[in-house]
Amino acid sequence: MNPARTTALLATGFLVLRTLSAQSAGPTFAREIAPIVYAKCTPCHYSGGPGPFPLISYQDVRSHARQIAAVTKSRYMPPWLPAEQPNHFAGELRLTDEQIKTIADWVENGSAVGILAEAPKLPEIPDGWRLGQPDLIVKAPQPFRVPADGPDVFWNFVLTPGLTERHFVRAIDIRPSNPKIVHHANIVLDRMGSIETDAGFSGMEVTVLGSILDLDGHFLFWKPGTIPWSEPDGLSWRLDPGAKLVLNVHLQPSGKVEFEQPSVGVYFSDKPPTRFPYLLQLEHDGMLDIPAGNPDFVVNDSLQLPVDTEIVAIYPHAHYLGTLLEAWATRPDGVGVQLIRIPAWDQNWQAVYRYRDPIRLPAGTVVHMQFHYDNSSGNPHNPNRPPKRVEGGNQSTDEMGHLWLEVLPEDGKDNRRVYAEAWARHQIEKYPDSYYANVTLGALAITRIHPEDAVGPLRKAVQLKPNDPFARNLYGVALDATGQVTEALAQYRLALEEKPDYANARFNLARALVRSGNTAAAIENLHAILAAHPSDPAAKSYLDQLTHATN
Amino acid sequence: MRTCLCAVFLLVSSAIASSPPVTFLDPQGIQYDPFGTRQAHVLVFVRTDCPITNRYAPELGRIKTEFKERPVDFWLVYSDRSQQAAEVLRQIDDFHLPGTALLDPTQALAHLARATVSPQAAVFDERGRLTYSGRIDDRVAELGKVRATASTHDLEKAIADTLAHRPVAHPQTRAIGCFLADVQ
Repeated sequence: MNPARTTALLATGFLVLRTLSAQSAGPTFAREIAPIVYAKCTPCHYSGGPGPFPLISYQDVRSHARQIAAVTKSRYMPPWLPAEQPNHFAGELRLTDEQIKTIADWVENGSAVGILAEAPKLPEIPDGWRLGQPDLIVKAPQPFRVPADGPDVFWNFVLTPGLTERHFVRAIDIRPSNPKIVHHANIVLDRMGSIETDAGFSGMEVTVLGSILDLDGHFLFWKPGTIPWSEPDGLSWRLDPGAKLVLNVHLQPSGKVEFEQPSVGVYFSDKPPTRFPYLLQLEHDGMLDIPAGNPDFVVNDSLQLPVDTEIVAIYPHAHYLGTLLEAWATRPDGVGVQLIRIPAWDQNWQAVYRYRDPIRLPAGTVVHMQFHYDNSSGNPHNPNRPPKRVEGGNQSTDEMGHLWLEVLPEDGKDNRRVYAEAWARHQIEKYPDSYYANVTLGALAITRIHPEDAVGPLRKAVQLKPNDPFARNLYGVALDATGQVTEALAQYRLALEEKPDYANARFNLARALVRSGNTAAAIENLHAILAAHPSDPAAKSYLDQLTHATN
Repeated sequence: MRTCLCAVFLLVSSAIASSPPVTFLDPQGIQYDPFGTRQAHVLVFVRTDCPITNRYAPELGRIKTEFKERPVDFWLVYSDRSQQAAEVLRQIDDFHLPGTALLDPTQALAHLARATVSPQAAVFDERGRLTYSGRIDDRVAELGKVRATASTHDLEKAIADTLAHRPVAHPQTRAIGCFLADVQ
């Protein structure tokens, strides 16, 4: 046999083998496709579920086969924004390149069914609450009407659990009344009941008042198709009587008028918390002033960790113009650790990403964020056509660049105030005129019994917001504690001019009056507190003490 | 023009591509000729399980209202052999999709209109010639990438041009939606 003939024969044989192998080993629904679909698609795509159509039976999948091949190739589905990285996330929905190719091959080769008996067991289709019957179910007081058309809607439902005693919570689940229109929800705990309306309100962002000294540091995020996170023992969070839950819900018009009235299921823990996470924020909205047409505007921020830390979860957040969102850490030894990389941000699919194993970083590590924005007409998410200048802010027409980390100190102590101080100092570096950062720093210095450190930031705070009774009162405390009683009296009086029923300021005024030798006026002020709040224990006890002393 | 032929199914071969005078059934079995006597015929290809299609219902309603005084007819074409009549009627009722539904089980109309996805629009003139095939407007940039507003209203413009006997500036645009080839 001459060499040329041998080659030709070999080539023919190779072709035959390839053909045979394609026939016998081409992907089938039962063998290759169902395992992917059941793991990554069916959790949302079931009858009555959040997905627009079920993907369970062969026929279901077959009748969307090309669609599935296209949306997996573009990585639009399953919705999973982060790129692959060494520090994996829990519940990753990302398909491997190989899985995407398998789907494409299956469609290309005629979407064969295969032997259905070989298909894996169907995943459990959610029916009811996904963590079992909740200990408490709270329903939104009224439904919200979602218009048929127009841009996405962000609505805040205000729920009042109506507890009569303190409970500790390990998990929260949400059941939308209309799963197909609810994209995701952030739950904000309003401990002080600062949201006065129960009727709900619109807005992409929610701000609630909270005590600087009692910050809750749990991400309370919900997205469809995912089993809600349940905190382990020791990491429960407190839900007191009077607290409210604000559900910041992203709703998508469907083409017809729809209504949504979600219910929240609350799961209690009988164990109070022993560890206290903190939500550490990086941001630089002050840099956000994006000229119309700019296709790559970059915002960055970095913050040094004050103590040895575990990063439990991460939540990058931008509005419509965000494109590449990245965060990484640089350890003191110079080693870099990727925290997250989102190559193509899509705020429709934003989520809190929880690490499979917390990332441990020593004190002194610097966490960095770098977010890119495209304000050109080439960005299909750009809400402005033609593009216009966009600045940082809370409205959906503004832009944002926030990176939140749920952190736990490695030493197991309650280090929330240490993190808060690191955050506040960093904010003041960026924004010397930040009222909130100055008040936070001042309040923290007072609690550390370093009132001398509080005077400067609080003086700044009252300059920034002269009519704010809260800052006036705190400034008074700092002055009082550093021996400046006369100045302190003036601050308490200014606070009470703004808010005459401010019991804390009046109580502090009474104490300062005693120190300045005016006990009679102090007693008068304590009576005034008790007239408004007859059971105020501190005022009662102090009044008793003063009246006994004077008798 | 409305004739009840409840038990009759008309098979359409691809040979009719250049001459479309055929009739199709609606979900209740009523026979229609989508290329009747009006000056323009708008066919919108739809699937019952396509969320992009449903989101276009208000815009399609607006376009139909825009031309309500003009000699245009609107058809919703379901090119799916397995399509259940009840689902079609439910979708039209739920989303107020405008136009008369036609079943296109052999995808003959889809071929004629060069339609590949749902929603995709086609406009034919009074002689049954295809003047436009493509997107309704440019809101959908890619699957999952929907612009807040449309800047070009391709279908609306194509209807106006066809009625005015003007050539459509962009007779073919890329529609983005759910594949018709997936249904059988």
